[in-house]
Amino acid sequence: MILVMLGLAIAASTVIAQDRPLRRPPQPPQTTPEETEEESPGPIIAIVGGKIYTVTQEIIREGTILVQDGKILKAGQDLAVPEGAEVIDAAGRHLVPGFIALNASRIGVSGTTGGQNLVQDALNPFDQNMQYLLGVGITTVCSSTGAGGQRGMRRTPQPTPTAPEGVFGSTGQIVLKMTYGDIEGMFVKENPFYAVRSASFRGGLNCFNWREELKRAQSFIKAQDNQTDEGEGGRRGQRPSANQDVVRLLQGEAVLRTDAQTIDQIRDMIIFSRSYGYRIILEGVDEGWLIADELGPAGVAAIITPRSTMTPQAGREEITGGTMELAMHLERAGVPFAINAQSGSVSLGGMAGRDLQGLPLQAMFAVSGGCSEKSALAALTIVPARMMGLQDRIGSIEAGKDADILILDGHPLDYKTYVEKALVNGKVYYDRAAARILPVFDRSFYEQQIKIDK
Amino acid sequence: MKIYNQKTHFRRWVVEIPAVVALLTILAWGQELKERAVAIRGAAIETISGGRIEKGNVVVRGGKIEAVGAEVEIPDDARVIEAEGMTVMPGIIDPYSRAGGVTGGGEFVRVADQFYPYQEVFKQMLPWGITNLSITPSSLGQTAVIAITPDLPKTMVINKDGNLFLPVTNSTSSLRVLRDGLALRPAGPQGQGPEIPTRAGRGRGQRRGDQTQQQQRQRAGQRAGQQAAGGPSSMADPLWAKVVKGEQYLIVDVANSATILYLGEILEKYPEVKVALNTNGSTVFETLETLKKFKPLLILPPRIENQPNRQYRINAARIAHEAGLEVAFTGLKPEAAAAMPGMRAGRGQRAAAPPTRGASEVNRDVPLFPVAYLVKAGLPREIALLALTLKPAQVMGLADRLGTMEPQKDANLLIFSGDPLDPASRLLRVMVEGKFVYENKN
Repeated sequence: MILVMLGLAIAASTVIAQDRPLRRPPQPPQTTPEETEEESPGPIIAIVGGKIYTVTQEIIREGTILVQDGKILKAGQDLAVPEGAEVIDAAGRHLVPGFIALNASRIGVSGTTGGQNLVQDALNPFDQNMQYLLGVGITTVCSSTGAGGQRGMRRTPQPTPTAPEGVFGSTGQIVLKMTYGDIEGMFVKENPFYAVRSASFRGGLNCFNWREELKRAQSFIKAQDNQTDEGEGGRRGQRPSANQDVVRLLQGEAVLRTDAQTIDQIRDMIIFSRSYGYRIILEGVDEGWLIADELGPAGVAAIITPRSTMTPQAGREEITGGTMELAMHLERAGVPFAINAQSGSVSLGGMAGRDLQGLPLQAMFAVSGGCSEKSALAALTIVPARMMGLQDRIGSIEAGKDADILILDGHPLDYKTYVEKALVNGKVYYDRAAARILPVFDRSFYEQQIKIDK
Repeated sequence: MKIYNQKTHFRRWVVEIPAVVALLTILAWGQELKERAVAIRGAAIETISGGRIEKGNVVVRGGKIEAVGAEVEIPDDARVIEAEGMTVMPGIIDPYSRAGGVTGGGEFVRVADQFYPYQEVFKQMLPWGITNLSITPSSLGQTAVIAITPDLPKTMVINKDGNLFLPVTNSTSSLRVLRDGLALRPAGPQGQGPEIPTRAGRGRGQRRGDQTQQQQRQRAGQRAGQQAAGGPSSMADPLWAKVVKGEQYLIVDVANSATILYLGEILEKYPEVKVALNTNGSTVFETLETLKKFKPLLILPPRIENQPNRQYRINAARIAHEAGLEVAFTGLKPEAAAAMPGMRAGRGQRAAAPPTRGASEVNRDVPLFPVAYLVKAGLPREIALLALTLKPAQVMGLADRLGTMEPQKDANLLIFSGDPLDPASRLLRVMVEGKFVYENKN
């Protein structure tokens, strides 16, 4: 009996002793899922082995991204994959945050909008263009919903007596994610910019009108402050009327987005913004490289198209016109810039929309012109995210952000690169092999052929 | 006084004599109906409810089916139709028809109030094998069920109080009708705008801006409400109440796939609500995951369709059935059959058909060809037959009266020369409410 007891005790102790060293190494991965499960019970997706371009931090080689409930849980090297996690093998692949297109036209909206009809009820996630967009790596678009000006999604009526109706009305835009086939998680934000057509600021009369509009907004804010000082029973009826978009602009809650190409146009916008103290995002900025030093201090952010060229202005003594080096100059002057597709209204006529395919290609042009690859990539991701006030959600691969991730088969700025898979909100919405909207072939096949020929 | 009395006396006679005569004739007519039965002998019977009887008899009396079965005795007085080798099945029911052109207009269209029976289209339908239709308005309204009896136009409508019908698109004004209706919210001043995710970080100016937005939305809500269930809301409200309790199907027509996702979101909160969704195959293909969640009965055209944006062909009825969804067919027309690929060549009609006969005329003898095509492509046969008969009856709320070969049901039946789903079979006779309304003389 004693022998048996002893034997059992020894056996038990050896089992425990054997267990201990075995148990210790996998302890961290065992505890992490338990902790996360308490917080959110969703399943985990692990994208393993890829080169991660975090955009905001360093590049992680052979890294792992853990995704849960549509958010990035963790990204880094040597991350243990929790048990039961769905593993996406990304060995040899390049992982980048989904690209953001700031110029799109009525993508993902099919119902009537405007007036009583809200954009949230007019979404069409079966828009074939959404799949094309995913195919070229765009996971978020800022899409125009109306013609702008008088029509479209303008919120407040124009109570301005002098300015022509609707001149300074914002063109409607919505920020949508390309959740092809799902409404959930598609709508992100309405009117991220106070976007005004550049024609509204051109010429002496329009500039005068804009100044009047700004003054009205200023007096509106002033009256509002006085009223709150006096209390609710103040002079309610005597409050001056003003364009609410402009009021928000002056209060720093909105940012003006318009286009300006020449030095004069850019300077005009800077003068206004500095004297009235509001933020501007300028689109085009073809001659911005000549006055890059002025843009930085003025707090201008730029949306550029590196491929577009502008011929020098005839009859001007100083240097004018566009250059491919624009991005480099902006980068050196510390001006944040986003990169846009060539066409203002994104055309999707061709296969997968050739303009759109040009988004990383545009960034490549910026690199050709002397811009760093890091800034070029940021110009497709985190910079446009910041412009729309969505830097907490999209634009980089960081813990806590939306899991909008592209799995690429090559360098993000290479012309040969295809999107293999596109995740939006942690779900694979595009798979090149399954979607079959872009050519499916294995490049290594050609490499082998070459070897045989030798 | 006397004169007055005589007058009343006289008057009474004037009324009573015709009344008595009428009563007698009605009684005699009724007697005659009761006496005369029609019996179909020796046919294969697709009962729908009780499977297929290989050889049996059907006895019809007084517009109703009296008996069905292999062992059923044929009454002595019955007019017998020898149907050896033939197949009897219930008449085809279309749960979503616009026949007769009830276009509506106005806020709430009650089809029964606008129905006009004296139309050629109903006579044309007789050879198609369709015996009942649910006529649907083109805007918010109430359907009506008719029997295809153009010879008795006054009694064609068999159910004036049909289902609530609603076309839905992905726009706020349209979705609000559904949202308000299901919430049994009286439309009008109470109609609130839908919730909009509000932006973080509000300033003073923004708050004011939001107030005006709120007012705008409220006004918009009122407008939409008045357009929607408002107006004659007294007509729509009791129907919404029935729909919410699940007593009656809500028939919905969706404009596109996106709308189905919105429907899914809204109906998630109302598990009791039974929805019949009029849509098409590619939409079903795209939105199958959402459809599986709220499980509507699908009203589909019986045809092979393409995947959206693809050239791959799909059998949507089969896909829906395999996903656990109920299916009813609509829009069965000889023209549809004529358009089917290989239809004429497959039947060897190319040489046989005289050139004077149009395609529709040729093909109307086999009205179920499109359905047979789907069955050949993998849709179970019994599901296909259900989708033509009992499922539509179920949508209309008339499953106790139509859709199967059972005693006490309306005697609406078709006699085919063979298997109804065999392209070589011909539709020979159509009976509606106990009377043969069509006989194939070709």
